[in-house]
Amino acid sequence: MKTNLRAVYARTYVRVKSQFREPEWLISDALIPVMVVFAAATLYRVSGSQQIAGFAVVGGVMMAFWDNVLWLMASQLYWEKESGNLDLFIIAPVSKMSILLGMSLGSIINTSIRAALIFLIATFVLKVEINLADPLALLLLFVLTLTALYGLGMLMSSLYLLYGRSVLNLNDVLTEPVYLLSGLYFPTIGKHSPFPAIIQFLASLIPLTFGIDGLRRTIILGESLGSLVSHFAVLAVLTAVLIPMAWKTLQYMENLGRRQGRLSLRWM
Amino acid sequence: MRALDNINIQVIEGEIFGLLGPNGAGKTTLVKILTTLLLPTAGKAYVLGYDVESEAGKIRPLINLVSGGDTPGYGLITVRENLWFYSMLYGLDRTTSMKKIKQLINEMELVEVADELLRNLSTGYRQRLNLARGLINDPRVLFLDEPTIGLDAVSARKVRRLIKDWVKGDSGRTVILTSHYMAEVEELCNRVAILNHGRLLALGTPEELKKSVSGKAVVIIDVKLPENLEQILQELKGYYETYDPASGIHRLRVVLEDWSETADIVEKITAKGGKVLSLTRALPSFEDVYIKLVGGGESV
Repeated sequence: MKTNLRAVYARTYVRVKSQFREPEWLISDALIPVMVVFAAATLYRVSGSQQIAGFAVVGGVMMAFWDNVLWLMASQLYWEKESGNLDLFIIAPVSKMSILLGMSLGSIINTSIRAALIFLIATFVLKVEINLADPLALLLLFVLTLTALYGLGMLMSSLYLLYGRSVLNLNDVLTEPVYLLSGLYFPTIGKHSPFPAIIQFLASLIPLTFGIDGLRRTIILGESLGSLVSHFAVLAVLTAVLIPMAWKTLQYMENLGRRQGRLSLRWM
Repeated sequence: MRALDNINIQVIEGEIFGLLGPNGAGKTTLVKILTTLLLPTAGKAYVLGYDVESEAGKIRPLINLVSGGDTPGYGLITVRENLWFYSMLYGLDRTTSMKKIKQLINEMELVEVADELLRNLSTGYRQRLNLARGLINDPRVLFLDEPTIGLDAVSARKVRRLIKDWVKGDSGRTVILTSHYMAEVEELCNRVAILNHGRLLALGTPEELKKSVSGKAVVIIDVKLPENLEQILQELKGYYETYDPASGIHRLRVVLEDWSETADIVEKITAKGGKVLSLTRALPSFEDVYIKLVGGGESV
């Protein structure tokens, strides 16, 4: 247990320390979501929806997390394999889940800083009206959304364990559909959604969807804990399913990789 | 395709054991099985008495792996931080970890780059860091897969000296080393296994293996070869070739059953338009053992 906790701490440390050694990435990674926020907020405003222009800000903030999950969680083990780290993780006497957990925590810390930057720039420049009535609801919702989202990241990372460059293409394929379905641009669940029920159901399987919707309700519409019960329930279920699934998948893929000799195959 | 075929080897505790063979011989596959990265499709393998298939968890704290050419670790953290990171994966507490890192930085002569980012290090330093990383848990069995590949002569010699010093430090330390370099294996290893196409061709001390060619004739032939070089070389079995582009001279080192075969070789070369410049007798070396067993055809 102690060894696993040390591994979690060490992997978190590496990720956070690396970001602070190259702070210029913080700016460039924040820039694209900020531009998307401006574009979406402008559309809302010209259509006369001043209040929901703030929706775009929340969408932009959460976009940073999704990009991070795809590029620095899901496909991370591919890079670890190429550098020779993956072999060493496999032969180290720690649970591989602790490595993934450390990666997640480091990513959450790094991306939260970036997300805060996006939020501050966007709210200041766009003069978005914030109606936060229940900070506790916001905090709980944010933590639960990230837990479920990085649970998905860990699951994807496990699934990607044996694959090579194709994972990068898969990331490209997943980027825009998730932006669209999860509601980064506009609400995709509830009464404002333009989608039929079946699409809304599928969209709700993405942890971001209920997370973004709940965050918009707390930050922009001023709703409190009581009106967000369904959001908490969905996110809790997703967390309870995704994290054990990631654990089992990682074990399965590691054993499969050992049997097929694909754990340390490079340049695939 | 069978990467390993009916290999039966026992490594003795405290020795440096070499695995030698050409590309595709099965050396790295064997190391991957023993380090629990790969499961054997048939047969059994044990490390320190533990089964690699069912007891990987007991083996892992006791071993480590250093692969030459790899640069494990993270470019944006320092040498010291990288070592610390890996020490955490082995559960070292803070005091033990700091003490161990300090010791390894001194022993591996990394003092001047200890606070440099990994990405700024030269290949030689990276490989020494890789070796230090492999020793972080003070393994009982250290697997070295081509540890000096890509290093210049001075750096390679330094790495070899560090390996020897580490093994000398404790009688319970064992090294299993794969290499393409005959001189390296001869210098470092107590015993050597020569593999080819997944099969074990020979096993013994370098001296014992050298005796197997003691009755053979070794001849060094300097030749100028025409365009159909490959055709001529294919007809010679058991040779090693070096080429000097400045002079255009190929130096072939050939192991023969008998001196009388020298005339045949000269005839083959001249018949194809090659020009023999000189012929020299040589004493059989460890390299010749390899040539004889593996069948030659290697350019160095």
